[in-house]
Amino acid sequence: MPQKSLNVEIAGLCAEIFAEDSKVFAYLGSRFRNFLSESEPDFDIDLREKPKSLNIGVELLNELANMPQATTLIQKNHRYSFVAKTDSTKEIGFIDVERKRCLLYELFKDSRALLFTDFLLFCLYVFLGSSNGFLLHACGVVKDNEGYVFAGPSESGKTTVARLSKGLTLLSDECLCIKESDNSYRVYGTPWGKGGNKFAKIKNVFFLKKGKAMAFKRVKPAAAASRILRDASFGALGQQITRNILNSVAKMVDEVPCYEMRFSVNSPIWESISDLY
Amino acid sequence: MLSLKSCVSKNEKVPWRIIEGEAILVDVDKGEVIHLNEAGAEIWSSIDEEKSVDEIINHICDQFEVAKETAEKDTLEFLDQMIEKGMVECLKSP
Repeated sequence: MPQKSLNVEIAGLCAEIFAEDSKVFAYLGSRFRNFLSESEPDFDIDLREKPKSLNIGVELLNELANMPQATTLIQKNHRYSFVAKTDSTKEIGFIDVERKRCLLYELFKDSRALLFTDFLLFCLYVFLGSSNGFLLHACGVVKDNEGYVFAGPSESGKTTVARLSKGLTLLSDECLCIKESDNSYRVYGTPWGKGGNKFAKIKNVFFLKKGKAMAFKRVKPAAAASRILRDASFGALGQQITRNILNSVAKMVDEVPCYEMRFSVNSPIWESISDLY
Repeated sequence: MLSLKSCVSKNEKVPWRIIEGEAILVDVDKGEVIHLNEAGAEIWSSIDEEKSVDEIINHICDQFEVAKETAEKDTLEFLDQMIEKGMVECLKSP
């Protein structure tokens, strides 16, 4: 069957995705519609239907389809195996960093690719990490052409910040890409969470903390690096990529002022941020 | 058992950086981040296969205003914790 391809570009990193099934192709085109690109691909992903020889039981199949973060990577030299956390013996995909080739045996339900978005996220972790960029669980907002990063674990208030930022450009309320460019750091929107395909130079990073009164506290660079790394999910990426991410984060916190931001659901966060300067 | 004559080395697999005098270490396997204050960072930086624990303690006494007894207790405690976490390896204990 002839393969079709489409290009998805996130944070300047372009993936050419090949798929055989036209319904799957249409699903990908819709899912990543804001991130379609005509740029030269940096790597490719071959999306294939699971072969019969790859025997995955119903239980594991359901787990992969329904449980968030049910998959992980296992590194061996320049190649990462994409496997279920509960059964690492069955490779359901791989990322070959050297050849810039990726393959995923996808599980389809009503022509919806169940694992692809997770797999693409892992591809970005790997290829961004190789080029000193990283992904961060954070909310990103652009105001007056400047990027603001609000980092924190689940339930720290990323969605609340997005809600309190009406009228401004939301990059994502869940996951951002951060990359060095021209001696400054840029924050990019991703297809994960609500947001759009935009980017901006980073003005500040805020670590979210829920509280009653609005307050800011400057965070020293080492503490900021530690907090960013905790939300950067570099697990399973291996030593070299982790070193790249650590170096990149260390440089960023040296240049970008970081604060802890206490706020409540009704806090006037943008007025308070303006008062910081 | 770590003693003053033991020699220790950093685990080479651990990515680390000194940032404004403090240290960030990453346990790649566990996905954990360890943040060391200035004293911890100074001990970490001075770990070298050629140096004994006693020499590291003397270095800490030179860098900080601290009694030798306190530096000895704190350094041994710190190194024991780092060995337990797999960040530091004990090369030889006489």
